[in-house]
Amino acid sequence: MKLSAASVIERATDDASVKAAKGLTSPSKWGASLGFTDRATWGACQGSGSKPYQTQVDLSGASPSFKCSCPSRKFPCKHGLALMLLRADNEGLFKTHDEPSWVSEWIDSRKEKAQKKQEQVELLASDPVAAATAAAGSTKREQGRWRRIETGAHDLERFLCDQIDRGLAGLGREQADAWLKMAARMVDAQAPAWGLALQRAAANINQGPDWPTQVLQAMGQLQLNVDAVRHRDALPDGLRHDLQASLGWALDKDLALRQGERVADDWWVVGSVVEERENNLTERRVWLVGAQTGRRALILDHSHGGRGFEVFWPLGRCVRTVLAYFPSAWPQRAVVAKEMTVVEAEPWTARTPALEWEAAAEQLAHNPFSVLSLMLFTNVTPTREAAQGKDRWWLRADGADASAGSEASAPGSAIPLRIGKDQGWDLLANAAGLPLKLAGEWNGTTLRPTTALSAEGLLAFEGHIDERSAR
Amino acid sequence: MSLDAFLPSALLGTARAPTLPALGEGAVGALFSKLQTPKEASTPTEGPPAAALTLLRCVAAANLFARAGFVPIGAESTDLPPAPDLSGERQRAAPISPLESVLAEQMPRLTAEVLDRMAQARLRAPGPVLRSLLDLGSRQQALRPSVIAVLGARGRWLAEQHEAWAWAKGSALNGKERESEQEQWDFGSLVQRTAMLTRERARDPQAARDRLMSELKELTPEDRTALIGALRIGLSHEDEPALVTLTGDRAREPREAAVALLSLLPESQLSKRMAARMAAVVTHTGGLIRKKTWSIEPPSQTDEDWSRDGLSTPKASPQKTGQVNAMGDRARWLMDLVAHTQPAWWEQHTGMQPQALVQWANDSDWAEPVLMGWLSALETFPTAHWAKALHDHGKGSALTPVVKLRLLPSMTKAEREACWLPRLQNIGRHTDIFHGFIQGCPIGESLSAEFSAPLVQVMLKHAAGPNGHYGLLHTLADLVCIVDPKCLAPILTLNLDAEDVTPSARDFLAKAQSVARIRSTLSDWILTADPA
Repeated sequence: MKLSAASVIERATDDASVKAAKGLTSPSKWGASLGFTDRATWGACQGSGSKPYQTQVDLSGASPSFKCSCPSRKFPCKHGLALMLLRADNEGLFKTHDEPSWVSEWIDSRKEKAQKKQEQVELLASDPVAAATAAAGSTKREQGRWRRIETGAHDLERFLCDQIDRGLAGLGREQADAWLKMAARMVDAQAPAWGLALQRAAANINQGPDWPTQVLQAMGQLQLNVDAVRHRDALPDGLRHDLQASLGWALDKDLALRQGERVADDWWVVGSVVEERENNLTERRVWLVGAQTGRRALILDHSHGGRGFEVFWPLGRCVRTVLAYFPSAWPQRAVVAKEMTVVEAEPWTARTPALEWEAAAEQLAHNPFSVLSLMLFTNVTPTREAAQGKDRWWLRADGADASAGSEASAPGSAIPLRIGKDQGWDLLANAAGLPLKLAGEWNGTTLRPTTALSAEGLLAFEGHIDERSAR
Repeated sequence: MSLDAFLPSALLGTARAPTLPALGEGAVGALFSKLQTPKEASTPTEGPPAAALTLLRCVAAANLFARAGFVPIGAESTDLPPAPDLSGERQRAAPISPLESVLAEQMPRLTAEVLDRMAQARLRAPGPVLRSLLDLGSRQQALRPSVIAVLGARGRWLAEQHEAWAWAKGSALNGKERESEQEQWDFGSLVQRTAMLTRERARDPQAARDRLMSELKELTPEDRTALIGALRIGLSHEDEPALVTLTGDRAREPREAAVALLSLLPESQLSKRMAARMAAVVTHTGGLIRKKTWSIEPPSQTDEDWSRDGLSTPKASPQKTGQVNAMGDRARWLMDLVAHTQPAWWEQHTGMQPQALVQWANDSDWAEPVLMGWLSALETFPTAHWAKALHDHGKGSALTPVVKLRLLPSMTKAEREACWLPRLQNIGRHTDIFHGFIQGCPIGESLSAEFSAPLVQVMLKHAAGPNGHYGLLHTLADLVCIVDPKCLAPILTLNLDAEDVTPSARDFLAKAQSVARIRSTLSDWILTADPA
């Protein structure tokens, strides 16, 4: 695989990495160390120390994997980016010859690990005894965590009810401290999502005219979770996993690989949203839709400390792979169960808007803890409404519905968009008043576009939305 | 379903307002009724307040119903302006990535060059960069004509949607877009209307003049000033009456624009008054037998038409005039007169050529106001042989090398470069001359290859070394914008990691290299843009 300079730059964590990498594309930095084979590219880059940094890239998968001996915590580091930029612009500098041992050992060990993991999954899938042994160990830990959560749920319920009993009208900034203390208590109780919800609710107290509704909504959702924890044994397995996820309980990827439904398809990458979270954590949500099955999937990754994500998803392209869904009452989140290859495929299609809303309602009915749904629309037109000095953005579906008997199918409907000001104008420019295809995340009240496809090409919406200008 | 029904109890507190209203009908109502039924026995009596718990559970259910039952609002609640007619689009879309690289450099000269080349190649800006381009035009007025030229139907439509882009507004007619010049005059932006008037002036100067004069009252001062400038095309003595009328405009800028045009007409009454004033101050002795000796005696007072003829200048500061020493009134009036008189008058009046005139002025007691006046006159009446003469022979403390840089735009390109070339090898610490190169090179032009090649060598010598001039480093990227693209190779191959490249210089050199890369590959992507 050979990447273009543009696709190398796409993989950078930030602009500073790109700038630093460009400063390392002088051949004198790498000397005669540059080489490549079908599966790898490597070089040794002179740094400030006496020993050069050994940088290598595994090209055998659908997306490259980087490794470097430098101490950078960014991934890929500037050396990895520089190496690939050099390869893209100046391949003549690279020699084709045997891989040095520090390259072949790494790539061989990666292949071996992937092979072992696959074998382990297949073993557990085929050997009930082995699977049961593995499961038993995790059950004990799981039970311990549930006990702690249940204790936390008891405290949370008491807290919420006390607030309602006294009345929200009396809440001020002083009382918000109590909310933050309870949030910390929830983290201790191993329900970090509850803690986050309380922090966000506390931040809304006395902010804006709608704050009582927003705070009450958050409290209602927390109460739902508390009741669910209390009755978790009566919940179906899938829904109990959903409840775990809603608590912020990290799901074991092996669970999906072992027990999850597997779906092979050509998956369109219709969204990649990266958000900064608390404690220097970065979350990435990659949304996929199957070209043949029409199934939708969410790949959720986290990275810490500004490091990038190892797997690159080509936005707007199609990848052939097998996904394994996490057990759920409404399977959505998945992991990759087989190596990916980029393929050409028929463009994704969407249901009518009415059916999209019905599906979103269905998702909620099956999994009341779900927060986001992937929505797909064709023949929709973005439009702008200027109100009180702010831009509000809408997505119009004019005459896109053929089905009758539903308010959502009435010709001409508009969905509120959650989008930054510049992004809104970019979307408007891409559409120019004409219909386009759009994929987005629906959170129950607003739609956050992830990609839009028009005659002008693909427009991707990634990263942070400036909430001060959004909607 | 909204939470409004629960807010009174939630705000007041269930201790005081425990009762919830009946909610919903059918299955939904039944569920709420069930939730509001007294608690199951498993709830301990010492547990949370029952009314509060009930309210929270009802809110939880209402949340879910609201989300599941979401219905978009009617589309009639939002406006959708008519889409542009793209069928008449003549311009192909430029590739996105190289254009984004250009915009990322944030260099007006480079951006103007690229956009103008795109317009010449009938390329338009693609959708993803339109917003950035329009924002750029909003911030930088000088770039607006270049931006407008590449908007295409889609971009012009977009400009219609945002008040901040009103300068590009009104061009969203398609084109079939502009069916007549009249439409452009009626609905176009100021830039477009000025362009239209300019075209009309070239075809029919009287019609253009009459059009302007008939609509003066509806125009703002800014509009009047710009449109009066269009009368420069095909300017003739027939324009004098209208221009005289315009010298009575209530705003200063239109008056000055009209006076500037009148002064371009040697036979206008204004020019004759100027000539008469000058003839009164530039006199000679001898002439019949003895050789004429010319002398200057500045006016001792102003006349009644002084101000109307654009001669009333405020007391100038030394910095503004470039003078080292402040002038008295008479010297200032003299300088003003000279500045508003066509240089050709001096040759006609004295019979001397520019070089001789400059040398004569050098020895005069009034050298500074005359020389500085000529400097200003050449900015109004650019005359190449005059600019060269003043540049080469003008002396005096006010005519510093930096001040003389103002003469460069009046020269031909060859004259400019001939002035610069000797200085190039002896720049020393005077790196401000590089600013002159940039100022003297009109946007859209490049230096000749003959000048660019040694310029690049000098640039790199003074920028990259350990004694790199900081002032030069700051202008390096701008210099790369005016170098002949054929001479960019030394910059492209510069090793930024070389030992003698200081860290402080590296960033500037990297930017210069990036700009060089863009300019050297410009033809590639403009010529290879995909057909529409």
